[in-house]
Amino acid sequence: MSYIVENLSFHYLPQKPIIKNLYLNLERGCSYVLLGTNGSGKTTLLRILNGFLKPVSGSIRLNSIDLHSYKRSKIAQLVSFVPQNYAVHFPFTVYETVLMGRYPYKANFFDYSQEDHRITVSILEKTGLIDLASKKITEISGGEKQRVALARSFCQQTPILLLDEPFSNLDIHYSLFFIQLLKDLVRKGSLVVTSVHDLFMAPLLADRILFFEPQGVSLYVNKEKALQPEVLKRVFQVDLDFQYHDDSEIRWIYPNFQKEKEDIFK
Amino acid sequence: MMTHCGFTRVRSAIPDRTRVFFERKKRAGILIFILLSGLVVLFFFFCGSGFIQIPFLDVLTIMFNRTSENQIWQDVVFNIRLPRILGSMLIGGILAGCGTLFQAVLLNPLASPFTLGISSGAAFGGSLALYLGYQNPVLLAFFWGLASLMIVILLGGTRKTLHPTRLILSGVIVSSIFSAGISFLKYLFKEEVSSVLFWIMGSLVGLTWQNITLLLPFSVILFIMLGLVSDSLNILCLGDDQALQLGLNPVFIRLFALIISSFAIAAAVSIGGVIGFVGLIVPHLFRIVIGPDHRLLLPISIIGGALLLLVADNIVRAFFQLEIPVGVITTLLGGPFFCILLVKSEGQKYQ
Repeated sequence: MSYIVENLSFHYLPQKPIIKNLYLNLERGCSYVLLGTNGSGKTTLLRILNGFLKPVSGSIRLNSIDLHSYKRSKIAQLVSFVPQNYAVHFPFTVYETVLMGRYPYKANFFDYSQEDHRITVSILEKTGLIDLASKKITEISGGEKQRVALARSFCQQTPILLLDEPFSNLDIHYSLFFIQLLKDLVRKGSLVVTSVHDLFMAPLLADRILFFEPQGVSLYVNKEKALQPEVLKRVFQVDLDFQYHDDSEIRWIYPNFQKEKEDIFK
Repeated sequence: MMTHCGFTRVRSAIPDRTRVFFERKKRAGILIFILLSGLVVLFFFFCGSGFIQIPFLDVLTIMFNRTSENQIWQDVVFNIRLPRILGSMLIGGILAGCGTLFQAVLLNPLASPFTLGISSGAAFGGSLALYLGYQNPVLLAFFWGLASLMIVILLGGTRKTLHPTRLILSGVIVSSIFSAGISFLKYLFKEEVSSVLFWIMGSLVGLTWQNITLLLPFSVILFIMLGLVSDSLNILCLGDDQALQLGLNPVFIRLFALIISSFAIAAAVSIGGVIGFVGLIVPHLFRIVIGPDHRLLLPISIIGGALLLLVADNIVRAFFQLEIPVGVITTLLGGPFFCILLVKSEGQKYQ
């Protein structure tokens, strides 16, 4: 399972390129985190990898076959996607919604198999959603809905997971919990690409960091190099200091507020 | 490092947690049984009742032996009541089934088979036929209904998408254009307004076997196709992106669903006129009872719709020997009932 992206460019409007001449090699057993400012193209790249958007030029190969020559039903067995937010329009239960993750494996016109139900229950258990199984998807909170989306993508059992800010509504408990689950999947050989805004979460999840910098996208094989104050200053225009906690991966981030910006609302 | 995230407490009584899902299935089975038996009983009951009362056993002999010592009874049952009763069941099934389909396809619980302007198109076609003096306005109504939905689909779709909001918007536009057309025709032939009103009110009086032969093939095709797409409709409810991610092309499903249903709705409207609220209320009601799973909801809605229209069309005829247009009855009863549903559900599903 790997993505090979060659000379990829994308824009919605020709005068405003989003991605220019990108070369990438995303390998299995590795967790990639996308970092960048709002509107820098993180979601766009995820949607391109997903096949939702066609690149303007360049190619993407999934397992050395052109992504756009796959059938959608085949991609559904290889790639799952967790959107930033989504709306379910009818009061399906959480159980039914997660069960739909088994749709790509289901024979047309047949019911879900016992195996599908078994997998769904075990995923609900693993993700701490079993208590919500009978609740209606239209009546749960934003964070719970995000957990349901993650659970469904696990239920799809794909070797590649694309996640678009999956922790944006989750509390710290579940953020760390899902990071742990995702890292476990990566250890077992999955390819996980996640866009994240939280600089505290990002290094916990990432093996490598894809940084959407003003001059283009760069891949940091060594994630520590991406999380240097100079790099963050260049991209986000903020002054940050890091302090490491007893030699571990966990770091604390201290912002240095700029004095002249304090009067902004006067 | 993150050992505190262990989830030992949730490992309890799994089947219990998912019981609503399986309970809904059981409830759906019971409901189908009740509705079907109600349908069969009332079918025979209404064949026998009306201005000429025919005993139940005689109805059975007429039905199964096709002979009776009373020639008038046989005529009444075979040529007057049976086509009308079959027609009301088929039209009820079509309207309720398509209502469920439209609500899923347009991602809008307030959609009905008439949301996309097909009723105005058919009514316009029928009025036009009357104005031009055709003997059989049904066919022209059918084609205009079909044409109006095709226009809506063409307007609502761009090159790659078929967006629900855009579809509804084009439906509103096309519908109002046709309504203006009907008003214009009404203005042109002032004295015969009542025959135009037939399409607008909806009525099943005087259905013939000829009407049934138009209705039957389209409804059978529709019911089979609804069975085939029911599963995909569930996936469609997750939104277009999620559907595509699960390997289902939402544009294809939407187009396919609209086209197969358009033939049946056009047939139903051209024969029975605009019978309101059946396609809106039936799916709503059963969604509350058995949940939104379309694999259960579609068959139940079809049977429920058939039962509802059978009762609505025949109850006044059977007990009071009166003819009130069925569209008036369904709207008079359906409107307040829908208000109650809306208040009872506290608006949470309609946000």
